[in-house]
Amino acid sequence: MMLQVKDLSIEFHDHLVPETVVYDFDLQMEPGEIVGIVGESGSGKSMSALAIAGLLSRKDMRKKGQILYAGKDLLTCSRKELRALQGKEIGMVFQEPMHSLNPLRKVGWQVEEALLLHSDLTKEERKEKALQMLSMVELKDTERIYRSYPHELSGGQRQRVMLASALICHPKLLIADEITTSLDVTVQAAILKLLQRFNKESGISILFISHDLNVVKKICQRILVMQKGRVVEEGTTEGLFENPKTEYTRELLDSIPKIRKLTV
Amino acid sequence: MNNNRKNHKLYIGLILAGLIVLLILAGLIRSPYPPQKMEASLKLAGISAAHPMGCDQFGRDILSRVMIGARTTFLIAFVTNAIGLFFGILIGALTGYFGGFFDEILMRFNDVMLSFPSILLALVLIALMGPGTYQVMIAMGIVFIPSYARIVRSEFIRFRNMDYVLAIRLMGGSHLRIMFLHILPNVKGTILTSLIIGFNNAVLCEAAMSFLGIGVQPPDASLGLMLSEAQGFLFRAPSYALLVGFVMICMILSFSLLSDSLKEVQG
Repeated sequence: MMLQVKDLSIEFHDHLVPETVVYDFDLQMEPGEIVGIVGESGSGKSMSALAIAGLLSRKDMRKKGQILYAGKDLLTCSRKELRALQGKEIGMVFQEPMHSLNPLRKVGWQVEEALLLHSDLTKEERKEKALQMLSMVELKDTERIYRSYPHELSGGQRQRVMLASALICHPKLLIADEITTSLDVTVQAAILKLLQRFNKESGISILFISHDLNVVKKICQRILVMQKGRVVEEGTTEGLFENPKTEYTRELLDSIPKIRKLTV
Repeated sequence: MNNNRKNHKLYIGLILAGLIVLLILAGLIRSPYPPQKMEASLKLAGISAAHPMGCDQFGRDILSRVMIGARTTFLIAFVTNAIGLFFGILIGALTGYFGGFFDEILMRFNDVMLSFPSILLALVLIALMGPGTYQVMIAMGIVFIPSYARIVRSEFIRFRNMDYVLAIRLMGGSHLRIMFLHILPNVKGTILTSLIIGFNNAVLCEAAMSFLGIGVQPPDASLGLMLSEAQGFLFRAPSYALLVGFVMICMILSFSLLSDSLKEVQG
């Protein structure tokens, strides 16, 4: 067992009335597994992911339960221990490639940053590694991309750069928060293929968050369905699509637009 | 960036700033006359070939005094803004990035500072420390901190929740690294333009304080001090006040124009 989340609840305390956004979230992940979380906006899927990544602020918020990563509880371990895990063991890519890169720093610098923080490679070694990573995410002309600024790249290229920078330290867990949502369908497919390739080649586990059931169906082995902060159903991808147990999942599946043959 | 439209403001600003810098540099190397040398026969002498700006009430060469006066004024404006900016960035970055209770306290204190007219606050500080060039720098520096802190804070609040800040936190970057290597470069442009406005304010503030007699003390020279000396002879030697005023205008105008053109380039 590499990641085990037990009874995670997240409560906001920044208003007068406390507000609970995630109730009793449970999740187990084995090494090399791709697990999907689906649900509509506001169902708490992103909040759960941020909590697993250790990105939720420690004040204004109350978290109950446990997030065990390799036996260590991310909710209670020290900041220093958490920072050592972040980037090295756990990587994350966000929805908006436009906002995920610092507009004033060159792409190469940003891809290398995790190496700067977690390894003691020299400048040349870092550059070599970054170029290698950029070509692993199937970017062409890596030298030019290494030297360019984020605004000079397209959305798909930027998302690939984000993947490169999240994966450069070879993390064992990648959290992908709606990473294909803002991309068009062809780029989406390419990015999904890329994720699958990384999963096969380096055995990385992926927690894939999306509201797009078609995408989740393509890539995940197991799926969690969330609604209003609760996990309403959990199962293997086939089981869930063939035989949904709850009303909500059925509705969700019915909402997928189907292409019917037009009769004239 | 629009390269078709000529950036006239930039060129005029650069030329004026160049003139002032040239004046200051020339004064550093050698002024035409020793700036403190008095010549009784030349009291309030007009413009002549030997004294291109004439002489003041003690027969001192005004051009030589403008050279060192502009230097003093420039130095005061520079140090004042350096103090204000350094502490302003520090306070603004910490309060803006972390927020919370500490932020509330410092910002309310900031509001108190901002609610005084800045010249009044500087007066109080001078009254505590006594007049003089260095005291003016420190007093004005302290007065300039709150406005910089406010600007930097609002920018940090804007950037602290950006996805790329989250992404760096996820890479295990420390807060200091995020604040000063990632957010600060994004705030640079805003700081630069406000720095130039601050510079102009400092020049004017120094002039006002020297005019009131609490700034630079004679026989040292600064533009403000020379203006206040010139006002006594406004009718007998109008060129004194006009020329010193002109140099000061050039200084302020050059920085305003540079700031405007920088804003245009930034878009």
